Amino acid sequence: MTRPADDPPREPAVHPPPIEVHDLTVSYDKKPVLWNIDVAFPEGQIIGVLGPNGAGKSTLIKAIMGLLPIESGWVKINGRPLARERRAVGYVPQRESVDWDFPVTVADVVLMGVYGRLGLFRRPGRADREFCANCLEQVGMATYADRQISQLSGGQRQRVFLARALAQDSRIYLMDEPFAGVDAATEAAIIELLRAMKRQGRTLLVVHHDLQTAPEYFDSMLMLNMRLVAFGPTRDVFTTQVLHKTYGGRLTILSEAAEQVAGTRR
Amino acid sequence: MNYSLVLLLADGDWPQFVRFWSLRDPAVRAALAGVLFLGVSSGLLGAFIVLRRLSLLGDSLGHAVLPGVCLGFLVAQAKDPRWIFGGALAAALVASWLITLIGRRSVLKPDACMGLVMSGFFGIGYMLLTRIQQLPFGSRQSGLNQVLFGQASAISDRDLWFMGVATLVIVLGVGLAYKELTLTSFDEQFAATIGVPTRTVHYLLMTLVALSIVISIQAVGVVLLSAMLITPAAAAWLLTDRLPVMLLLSVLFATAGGVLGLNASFMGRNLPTGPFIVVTLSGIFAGAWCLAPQHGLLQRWLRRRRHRLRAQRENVLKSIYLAAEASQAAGGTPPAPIAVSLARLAGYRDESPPKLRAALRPLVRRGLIDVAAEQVVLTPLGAERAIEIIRNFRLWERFLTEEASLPVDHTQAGAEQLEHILSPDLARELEARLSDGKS
Ligand SMILES: Nc1ncnc2c1ncn2[C@@H]1O[C@H](COP(=O)(O)OP(=O)(O)OP(=O)(O)O)[C@@H](O)[C@H]1O
Ligand SMILES: [Mg+2]
Repeated sequence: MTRPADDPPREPAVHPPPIEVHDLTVSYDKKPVLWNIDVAFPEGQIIGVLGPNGAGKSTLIKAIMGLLPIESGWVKINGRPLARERRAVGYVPQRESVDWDFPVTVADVVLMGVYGRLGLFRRPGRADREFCANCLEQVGMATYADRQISQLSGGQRQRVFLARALAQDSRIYLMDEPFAGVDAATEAAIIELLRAMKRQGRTLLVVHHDLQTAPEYFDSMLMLNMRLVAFGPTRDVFTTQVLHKTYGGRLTILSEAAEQVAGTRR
Repeated sequence: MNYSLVLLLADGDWPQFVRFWSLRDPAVRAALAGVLFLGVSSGLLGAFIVLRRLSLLGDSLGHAVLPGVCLGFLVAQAKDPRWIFGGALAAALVASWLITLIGRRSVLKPDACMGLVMSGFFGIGYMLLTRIQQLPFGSRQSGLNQVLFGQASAISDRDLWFMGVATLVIVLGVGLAYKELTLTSFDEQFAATIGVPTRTVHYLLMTLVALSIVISIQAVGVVLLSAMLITPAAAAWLLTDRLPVMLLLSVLFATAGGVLGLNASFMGRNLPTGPFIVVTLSGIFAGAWCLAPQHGLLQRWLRRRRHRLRAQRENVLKSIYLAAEASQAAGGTPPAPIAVSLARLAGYRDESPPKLRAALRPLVRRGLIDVAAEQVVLTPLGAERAIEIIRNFRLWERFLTEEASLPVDHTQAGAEQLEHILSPDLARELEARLSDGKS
């Protein structure tokens, strides 16, 4: 395509959203578990994905990451198909998704974060290793670099996954329950890290289970229960009605907690 | 130990052994070269197979090549390596494709799919094999009956050429795709998200595995050849937690098992090689299992024994100090040198004198005490060590009662165990914390 040199470059009027999900339906063995999800996530926020067990939170993350076949609808990253924007998106899977007896060291796992930039068959070099050492430093695990991964505690494993994500150096991150099974100190360290990433303008989509901490952690929330129940800024979405709709009758204590939280915000 | 068992089974004799290692016999040279190729290829691929939990797949493909071998033989009407290898490779690829297909188009889980395909293919193969043996060109001399349990001495120069090329392809393939193979083996989903073509990597690995299986038919035979992939890699995994080291050890074990097994089979006057190689490999695995540094049986036993002996020694030392202290009427720190009579110590420890003498011997050897004229005397080193142990014991006991707020009668056992393993650093920290609490 050619263009006269004096023609001013056409900027798109609005910047495309980092993640746009349009009418997404995902099924396992023909049984839909996500129905017609429509949402566009804003840039530079920490966004919570909440919902009861089996609501399809992990399924949504995996569908956005292209790990599951999509029944209908589409997902766009920065306005383009995922295949062309892979390096823009980093992924932190659930901790249990890998075999921690695998014979690699902590440093090896973090190094996997740069593989996407290297491309096929190329080996990481010294600069990559130094960059990864820095990422390990940021999650406070520098002294563990040469440990075999089976010798780590659950919280340490989570940090290693986060360091690998940092090594990906993406603008957008999808994280499946990064706070699951970590102690209070680790949780504080992780949220500090996420906030630092946000300050660099990155967009974080985080699956989370704890309603007590959710309003404090997230700028926006996606309430999910097979369908999209609500999406918006935390102050609009984190209300008793929405929580009731999301969690159904199963949630009495938690809804009371939410009531209190909502009360303090009014 | 295991190897002597092999020798026994082989009813070996010395001249055969010399003939084998002198490498004068061209058949021996060819067999050795073949087994070395096998060791490299299956050692490398086996590591990835085991790490990806595909051991059963290796076994299935191993059995599934039989009909391919037989069809290749039928087409060529002779044991032509091109047709045999080609047929085997085709059968392995068809089998792995079928396993995937059945898995995807049914509710069956992978283990059932593999079992189905393996037994079905092996059944067809065995029928073909018996049929071939009744045909005029399929007589015993055809060598086809050796495909079940292998006969390395039947490896011809032409076979060797194929094996060499296949090994080269495998080494190059693993070398090139090392990063991708490692990543997809560890975290396939993550690999997919960064754009690694995980399916292609999987099929590449499966093709290489099929190649390595095909070239092990001659030496190991279809029934046992999965051991060539699985056993060395499994033994290697027990001994290391670094992937490059695991690959190296796996290759080393596979070649060692191959060569030693070959030797044993040769001394047994050319019995089938497969079982000998597999028994040798299993011996290597058993050794690795016992000797493994982290969880090995021997290591665990040694560690426990070392700790128990040390605890015994320290308890004796402690009792000498305390008995000497008790025999000082005034109490307090006994004046140097700290000494107690054997009789008194035996009474204090409620132990018979011979038993006491036995318990004292290791302490004398270590220069912690001297025994002279029925007197036990702590050396300066022994006195220092005894004081340290007693201090550790009291620190720990106080820590448990004051900080962990356990009742006193619960602390004894814990303190008795821990005083022996308390490091100087930890002891200092305990001391600091306890003195903080006081002030
Ligand atoms: N591999 C699979 N095959 C078939 N069904 C699946 C599979 N994985 C998930 N499902 C189903 O899809 C639904 C959504 O699962 P998903 O894992 O996305 O839930 P989730 O919101 O992440 O739950 P949790 O809070 O327990 O992690 C569940 O009903 C589950 O049973
Ligand atoms: Mg989930």
